[in-house]
Amino acid sequence: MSATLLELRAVTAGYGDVVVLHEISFSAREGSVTALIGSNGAGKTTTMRCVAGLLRPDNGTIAWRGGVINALSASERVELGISLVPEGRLIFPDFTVEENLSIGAFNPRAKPNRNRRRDEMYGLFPRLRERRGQHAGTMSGGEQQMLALARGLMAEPKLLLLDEPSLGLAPSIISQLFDIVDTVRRMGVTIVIVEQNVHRTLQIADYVYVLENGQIVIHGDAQSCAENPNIKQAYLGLY
Amino acid sequence: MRPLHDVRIIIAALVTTAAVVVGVLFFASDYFIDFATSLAMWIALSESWTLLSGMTGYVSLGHVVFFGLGGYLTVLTFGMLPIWAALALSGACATGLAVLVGFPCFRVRGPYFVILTFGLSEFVKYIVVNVEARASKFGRLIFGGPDPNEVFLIMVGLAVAAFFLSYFIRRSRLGAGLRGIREDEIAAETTGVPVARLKLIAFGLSALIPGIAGGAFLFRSGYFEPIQAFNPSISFSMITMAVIGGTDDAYGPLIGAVALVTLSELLWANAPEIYMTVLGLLLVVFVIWVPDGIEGRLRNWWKTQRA
Repeated sequence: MSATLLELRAVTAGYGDVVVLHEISFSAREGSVTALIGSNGAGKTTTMRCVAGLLRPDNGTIAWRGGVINALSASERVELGISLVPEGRLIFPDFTVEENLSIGAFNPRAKPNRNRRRDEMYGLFPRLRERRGQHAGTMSGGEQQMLALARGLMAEPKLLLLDEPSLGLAPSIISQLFDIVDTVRRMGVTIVIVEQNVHRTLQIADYVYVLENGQIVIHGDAQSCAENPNIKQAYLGLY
Repeated sequence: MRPLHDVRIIIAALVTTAAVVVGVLFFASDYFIDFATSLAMWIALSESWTLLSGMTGYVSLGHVVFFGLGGYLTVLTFGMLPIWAALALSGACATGLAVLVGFPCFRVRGPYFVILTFGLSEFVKYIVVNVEARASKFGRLIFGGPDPNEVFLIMVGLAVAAFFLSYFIRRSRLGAGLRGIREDEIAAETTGVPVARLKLIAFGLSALIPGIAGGAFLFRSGYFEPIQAFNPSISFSMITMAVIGGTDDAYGPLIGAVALVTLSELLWANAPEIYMTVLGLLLVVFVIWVPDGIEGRLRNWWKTQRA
């Protein structure tokens, strides 16, 4: 069994007086793909923001290789090796593709290998190489998502957080995207993925957590979740 | 990065500046030296303003506070400290003030940040006004400071320093991070840009040269009076020059300062009452129709000429 890379223990978080997460606990093992599924408003994105350091939990601990990292800023967490590919992509629309990739390697750990890393990304995403000089905002949704993914990988993450990567993409692009996620995992990057596309997610995930109203209601390995009647009914549309 | 290109730019800028300085010192009238001093000062101020506000989009409407503070410190220490030390102290304190107020100010953004910086500069102004009134000082005169030629050289030095600071930051990793903040601060933070630290660095750097320039300006005017030294129209002028020239590259504020200082000389001589009106009008016209400024327009035109 590989070591636990990330662990959330009883994390409570929200915005102002609104509590979104109620004592969430989950962990991600090194080299695995962990999926968080759940309906809109369940707290999936809030969980990702807590892990990435964009939101401070009100209670509970976030641990990285056993050490508590609650107090670290987002950029310090990127330096540790946690990289978020945010929901809605958030690429820099007025930057060129190449500039978007370069800023992805802003942290001091990734910076020395920036150019080599960028060539690797162009190998993984040939489309981005073709568009390297183009303003990112002028690309299609699928290309922008690939760019967001590549920008996240530029930081040389050990843990990649993918928040709804398939949102708003055409089915053929979604299929490519999941193939790439699989490639990234085989590169040795641990992945935590939040998705609405449960069917496809269960195929690539090792372990699954189901969030409802800010609480984890079901968790188990992907195989058993795929056979769980509640999950089948609520998320896979099977009866 | 294009090191060879950068070296050429440095050499060209320094040679041009040196030629202008020699020309002015040996051939120009006192009036023209005064004009050139003013021009250099405004280049220094408006380049500095863009370091924070042009690069990150956090618009400071209170940059005069650093200028005024520099003037105040220089007049207070006049006769006690050598000139260079007084100016260095002014720059250091302006940077210190920026970093200090940056902590609360950067908690808000957009219009709130704009209002906060404006309020802060007025706040400091009235503190100084009241302290001076308590001390029964209604303006402080300075005798025996550097002569106009020396003030001119100091201002040119500040203009050159501000231009290069602006030029190289825009081409650096720091500059890439600051532009990322302007484009999308959350995205920049997610990408690993230490946004809080970078904003403080940019604010501190953008206050440094205005602080020194405020001190040097004292020797040009010969007296210090807080209502004038902290006059908000100085902030407005810095902004107008930067916006008219363009804030995307270091050439922008330079072009804007040359255009506006020349225009203001002509207007002061012929129709002083309409200067501020013209300034306001130009600002409106440029913000609406030429948001990338004269420099942006020239760059686009140059691109289409070569294509």
